[in-house]
Amino acid sequence: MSEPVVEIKDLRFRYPGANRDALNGLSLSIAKGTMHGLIGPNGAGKTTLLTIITGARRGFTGRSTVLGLPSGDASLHRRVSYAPQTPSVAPMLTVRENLRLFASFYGLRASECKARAANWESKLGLTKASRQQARELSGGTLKRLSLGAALVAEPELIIADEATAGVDPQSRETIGDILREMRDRGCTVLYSTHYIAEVDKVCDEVTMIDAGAVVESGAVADYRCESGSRIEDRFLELTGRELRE
Amino acid sequence: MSSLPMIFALVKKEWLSLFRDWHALALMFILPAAFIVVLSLGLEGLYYQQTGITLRVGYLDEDGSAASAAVLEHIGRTGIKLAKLGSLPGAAEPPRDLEATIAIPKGFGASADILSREGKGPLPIVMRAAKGLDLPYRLWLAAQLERSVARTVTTGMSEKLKDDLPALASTLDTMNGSQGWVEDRSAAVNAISPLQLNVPGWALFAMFMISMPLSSGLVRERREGLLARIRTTPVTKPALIMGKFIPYAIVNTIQFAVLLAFGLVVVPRMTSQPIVFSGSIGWLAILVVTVSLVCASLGVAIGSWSKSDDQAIALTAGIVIIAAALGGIMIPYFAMPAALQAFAKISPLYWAHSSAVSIMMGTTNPAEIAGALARLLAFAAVLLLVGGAGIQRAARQD
Repeated sequence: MSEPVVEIKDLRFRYPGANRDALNGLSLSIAKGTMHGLIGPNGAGKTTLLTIITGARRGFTGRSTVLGLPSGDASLHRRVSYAPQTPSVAPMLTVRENLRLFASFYGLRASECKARAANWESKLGLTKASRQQARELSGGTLKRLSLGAALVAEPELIIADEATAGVDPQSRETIGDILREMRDRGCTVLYSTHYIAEVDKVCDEVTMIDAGAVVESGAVADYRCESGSRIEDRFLELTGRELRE
Repeated sequence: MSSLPMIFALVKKEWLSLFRDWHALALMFILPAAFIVVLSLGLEGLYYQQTGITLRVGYLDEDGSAASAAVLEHIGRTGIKLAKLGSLPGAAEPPRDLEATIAIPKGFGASADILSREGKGPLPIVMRAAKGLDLPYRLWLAAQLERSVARTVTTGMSEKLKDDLPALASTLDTMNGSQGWVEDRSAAVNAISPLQLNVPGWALFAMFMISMPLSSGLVRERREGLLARIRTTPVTKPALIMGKFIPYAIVNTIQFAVLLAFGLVVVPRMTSQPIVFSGSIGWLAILVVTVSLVCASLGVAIGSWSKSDDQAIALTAGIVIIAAALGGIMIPYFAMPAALQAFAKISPLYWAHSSAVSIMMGTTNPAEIAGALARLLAFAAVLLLVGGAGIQRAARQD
């Protein structure tokens, strides 16, 4: 296994006022240049984990290192990029202005910002919508723009939290292709989703978490069998089939 | 890595967001302009009744000379309502029904004969203005007293010189006659027009309206995760703060300049009311920047504690309206009851408004303006602390 880009050891975190830990001794290692799927039921702790890795959340115990540095280290902000679950872009700015805005955060010259924004605008199929304000976009287009705002950084690690949730199959396909392309260029991708078929299709590794801890982790290929993938069956076996409140 | 390009990008983001929100623009420019016109017309009678013309001044004439009587007569002619006092109140503050007291000292009449007192002027008249009397009124009253003393002294000189130096005596008589010492062509000298107070007042009010889009925008950015997301990029905290402050400071300056120009050029033609600007642009610029800091800090403080943008807008509007009412923007300070006047000073708009009026009228007292600026900076600092605590609290809970 190649060197880990993300290394989590015995991570614990509790929200203020909560009566249980959101993360309960979670340990995880993500290898460089892989596309790593993170699946878990609602409330399992996926977003909490991802925000700790990005450095946006503090107040945890245990160890969380990214690219050999403690998560949250200021120098990581240039090397790690995050596409949150809610498409967080400037609503009054157009698609193009948003992409240029996020590109400008990385110390690029104006011409380089423009070039990167144009590149990702085209790759993500946003050219037609480039002059539309973000608040006017459909859900799928907004998700692609939000991912684009992370991709303009051209980072070493990209963290995408439910990047395909609630989008049409065409957008999902485009997003999957783009993330795979990033992986092929040497970028590590950590990708949380509820779509298990998507994990089977695009990811190299998968980690299943529940109640703030890892329940199983392994190579996606190891779950393949003659009838297809066993990931969903295994996930339901480990996390239970009953509905949760 | 230089923070300048990212600050520039953040400023551009705020700028575009603000100027694409037509409702916010209307709120910041059109509404205050309408207030200036409507309230200047509506309050015209009240102002002329309450300003210098009917200023109530108690006097104690300890001298009882012809000269002291002449001074009082001159003052009476300015429209000041004089009330004789048996004695001066012990406290520095005049009684509640008076705006000021004056005491003409014993020996004033003899001292007014300056031709027989080589190297010495007349004994000074002691004036005590109420703390609540705005600076422009106080300065106007002092100027009327000076003028009355000067006329009395020169009238006495003319009497003495008419035999030996008739030409000089005649000149002094002419100067003391209808022409006066100053050819006063500004109709606003004896009374501050509603426009004189309304233009800076509503221009300052308009500046505070910017706290609304700032606070609601901040709530949206917090709720939608944009703020947290930007914090995962190389954007530093100071760059983020500058990115919020700079565009709003620029907009505030534009607001004040546009509304001031509107008030100086357009509104006088609509209302026939006089307005003067004879003060220092430099002082006004310093005041506008300082007020801008308070406005932005208020927006940050409310935006960081509000749970929704509706709550932020309602809270900001409520606070700004109360601050404007207390600060003498909606109800002129002089027309407020004494109890309300005491509360006026907790409003940043009171300090901003009284300073702006003084600066515009050219009656700037640097020490008083510096004091007002220091208070405004203190308001900004407290609001920023509240905002910082709110942002930290939100970050813990999100």
